Amino acid sequence: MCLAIPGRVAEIDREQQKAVIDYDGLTKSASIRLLPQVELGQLVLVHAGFIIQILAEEDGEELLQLVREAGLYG
Amino acid sequence: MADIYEDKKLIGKLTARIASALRHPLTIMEVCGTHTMSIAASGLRSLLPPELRLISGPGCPVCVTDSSLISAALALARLPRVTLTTFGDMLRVPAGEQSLQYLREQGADVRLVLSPLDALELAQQEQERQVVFFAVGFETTAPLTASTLELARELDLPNFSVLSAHKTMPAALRSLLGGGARVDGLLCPGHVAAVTGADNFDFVSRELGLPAAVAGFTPVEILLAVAAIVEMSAAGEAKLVNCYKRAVKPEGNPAAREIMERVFLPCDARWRGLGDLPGSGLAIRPEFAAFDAGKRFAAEIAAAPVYRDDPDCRCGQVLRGDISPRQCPLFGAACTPQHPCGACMVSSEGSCAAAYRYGEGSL
Amino acid sequence: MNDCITLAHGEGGRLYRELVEQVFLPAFDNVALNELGDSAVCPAFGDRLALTTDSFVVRPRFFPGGDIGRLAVSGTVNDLAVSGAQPLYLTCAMILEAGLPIDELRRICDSMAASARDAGVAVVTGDTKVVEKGACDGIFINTAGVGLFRREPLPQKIRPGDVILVSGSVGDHGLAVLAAREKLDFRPQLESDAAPLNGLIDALLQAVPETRALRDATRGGLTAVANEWAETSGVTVAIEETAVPVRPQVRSACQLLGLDPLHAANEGKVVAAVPERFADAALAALRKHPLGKDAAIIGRAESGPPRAVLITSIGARRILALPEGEQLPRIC
Repeated sequence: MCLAIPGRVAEIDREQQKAVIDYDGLTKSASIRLLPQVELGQLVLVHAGFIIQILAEEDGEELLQLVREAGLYG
Repeated sequence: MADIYEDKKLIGKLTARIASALRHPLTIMEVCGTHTMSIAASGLRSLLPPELRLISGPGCPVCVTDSSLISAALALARLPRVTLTTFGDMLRVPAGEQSLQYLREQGADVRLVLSPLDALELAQQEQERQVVFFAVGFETTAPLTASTLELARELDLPNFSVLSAHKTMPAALRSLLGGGARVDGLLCPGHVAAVTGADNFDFVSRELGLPAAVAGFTPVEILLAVAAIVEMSAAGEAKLVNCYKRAVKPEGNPAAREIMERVFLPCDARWRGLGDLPGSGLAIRPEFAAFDAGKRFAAEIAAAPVYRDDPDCRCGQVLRGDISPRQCPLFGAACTPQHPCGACMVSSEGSCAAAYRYGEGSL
Repeated sequence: MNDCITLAHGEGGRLYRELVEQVFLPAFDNVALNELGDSAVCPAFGDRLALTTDSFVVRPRFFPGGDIGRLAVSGTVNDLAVSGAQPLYLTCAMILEAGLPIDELRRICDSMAASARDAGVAVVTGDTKVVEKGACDGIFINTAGVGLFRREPLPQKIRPGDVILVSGSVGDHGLAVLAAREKLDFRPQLESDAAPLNGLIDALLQAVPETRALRDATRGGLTAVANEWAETSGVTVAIEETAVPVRPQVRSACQLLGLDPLHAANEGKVVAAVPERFADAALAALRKHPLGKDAAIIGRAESGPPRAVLITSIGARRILALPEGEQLPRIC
């Protein structure tokens, strides 16, 4: 379960414990209560109005690395 | 997002590798509603060899919410002073002949929210109403409810409470997969693991002896995890691998886990189609009793009719792979997508709903 | 005149008269209506009429990109236009809830009038009833429309090999109304595409008279059109997911809410099926019109079992099934 969507932190209001998240040109606010250390510009995972995790920046290289690693089990 | 996650070349490579590593028929279970939807929406199954079956386990928390708990939510929604809030997918889940959707159409004040915080905000705006949040979800969602409850306590809101249907995965997986279920590997839910850390699913390989992979939700990420399981299975290994490293860190989200533990206590819970599973639910701790709708409205809930899940429902066996949906006595007669009984029919892409809609195969 | 609608406005007396003279006539001003007869008398030329009727209920009544009035005109005009007829006259029957601010009614009428002007049609007769508070949701509107065929009616049957086009991005209306109703704090706001399409459709039919079928993709969206064509024409309708235009903001909103843009409603998009050799001409004709600048070829009809199929972003094929009931935001 758990529909969680990646977006980028566009604004932070630490007093209100809120951030504005940019999802490919559409923004919506989210709570930072579960990840207070989040920083401007970070790629994050948002679930039901809360940031739940910071996503590692990827250019696909890590994914390809995983594909290669998975080959270890052949 | 980078298109690499839907890249056809990469997908071709991965499916080829899965096909060549497949030594014998394999059944891999996913236990996440979003995996279910992503696999169905992308048509991923049609790219895999027919000997490799991807099946849906009890991964949709809405679908496994049992009739007696829905009965309690219905009882609250019928109270004139109550505004019942919940996630949109909860509205259609039935108890007896009723659902929250049905009550809403009849004029009850049932509102859908996208976040528990929306429910709390509503309570602040409409102070003459008792706002109840009917909370559902696994370890990904429970911290959100917990955080909202802490905020409600900070704000000392007298008209906000939570009816908890929260559940946790491990007990359900142990009960389902222990003792010879026809499942050869497990796709672990990436967003649960993003909160709990990947190690939360260690027991799948260690205790249950199944190859397991924490999976992301794009077609490439799902295939990657499937490939890892197929290759482990061919090598006779049962390990847990993390194929969703960009979101799942070893430690997960400690703040979220801590807040969940501050607010909730493990409790026994009934799962639609699986029955009573010890230690698989999350009850609101006594310190937060003032915000526990189950306590605040205990008398009203006790006075309302309680619906039970149909005892002939065979969801558990369908989920374990013991029988096919058509072998359930309720399938297609008492249990249809319009009038679902078990979790596998409630979820639009659950095994039974898919079998009803598309026949056993899809295309 | 009072500020709000009262039951007395529905009693046919002085207040009703005021409503007609101060709200309806100034908005819809035309010769046939101004006579205020029990029937409007309208000139007509031709030997075949298209007739349609549609009722409009929407919450909220005003949303970014439109309102119930614009819907009431566009919806009926579009139903006439996709049959191949030229829309000419509309009727307008309103059921008003006591307490509706008259200013709001005026805004709705002005919006209807503006949409009617866009479409080149006249609202020639109407009716108003007032019900007590709670008996309806502010305002319900029914419009009926009359159109004339200046060309043969479209066959509305598609054949294997036909190419399917859509006149622009899908899901705009459905998501805009949902976001407004649920007060979602999306920025920028999502805008409805509500618009009369008869001009665009006329341009298409002039360029490609061989067009086989047209539908406006309203409730149920593109998915509903694909399934209906499959059913009524006995073909497999294959839609290419990546070819369907979806605005990035609408796509993001759909992801956040767990919805599928293909199932979402549109109020200003036409889906067309044309024989393959006319596909490029049809696309060019659509794109030349301001309402069709994002038009795209999105699929084709195949011989096969009557069903709609989606070729997904990863190149797999799956059944494109109609959703069960209303699409609700989900979390899992």
